[in-house]
Amino acid sequence: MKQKLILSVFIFSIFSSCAQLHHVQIGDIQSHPDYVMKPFDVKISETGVNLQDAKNIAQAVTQSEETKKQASDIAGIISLFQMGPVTGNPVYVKDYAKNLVQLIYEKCPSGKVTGLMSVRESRKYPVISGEIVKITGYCLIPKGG
Amino acid sequence: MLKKLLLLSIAASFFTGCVSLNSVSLTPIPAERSQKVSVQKDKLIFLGFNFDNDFVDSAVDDLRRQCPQGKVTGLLTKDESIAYFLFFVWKKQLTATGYCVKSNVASNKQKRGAASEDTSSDLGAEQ
Repeated sequence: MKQKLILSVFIFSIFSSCAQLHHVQIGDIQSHPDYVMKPFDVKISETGVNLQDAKNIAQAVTQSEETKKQASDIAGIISLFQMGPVTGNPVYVKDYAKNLVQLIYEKCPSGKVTGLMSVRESRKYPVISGEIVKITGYCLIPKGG
Repeated sequence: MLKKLLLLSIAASFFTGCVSLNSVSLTPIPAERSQKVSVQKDKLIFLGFNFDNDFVDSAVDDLRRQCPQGKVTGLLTKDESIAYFLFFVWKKQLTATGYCVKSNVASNKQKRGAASEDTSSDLGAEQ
């Protein structure tokens, strides 16, 4: 019974994600009597890697002191190339948010958008994370158009 | 006396919150600043267990409701984290304040064509 409970807690902790909010920005909101405001949202995500977690797991599964040291060295060397201010874990696709404007145009072909809110958040799992950019807003559609 | 001071220190550390500012953003401030609009959204997080950030989703709707026939601009958006009880409890807080600039509906109807163009260019600039 106790073993099952521990296993359940372990599985829950592996498969549930912790959401971390990094940044929220709200733009001007225009209401116009001649337009209907249709809400839309765009979400893009990329996998981030937590090197510290990866190192800890590698050290936990090995018995060899040399392998433990190597894991630590590798994580140290990689982290030297990832300095500077960051939100979330590093991702290895540098321009994953590049087509965001294009995606907004696809949702709102008229280009008349307002009330844009951009949210930068992470969904954290062991070792990996989902590095998410979410944009919500309104598309202005002419009444009767 | 020392005991009371110690107790007071412990109580203070439990009941005061440490605030950290995550981000601030500001949109252009209008000349007409008579009607202020604001919204505050927050969420308490226990022991770091937070499974979504949906509490911010309704912020834009709430601001829009406060200014149904105008433009909300000069928006200052603050995203803060407040830690209570020796970091056992966190509060994520989003505060947005701005100004509602009323559009003259009558004149807009008269200048419908021009207004459509203005709206288009305004919204284009917002992107």
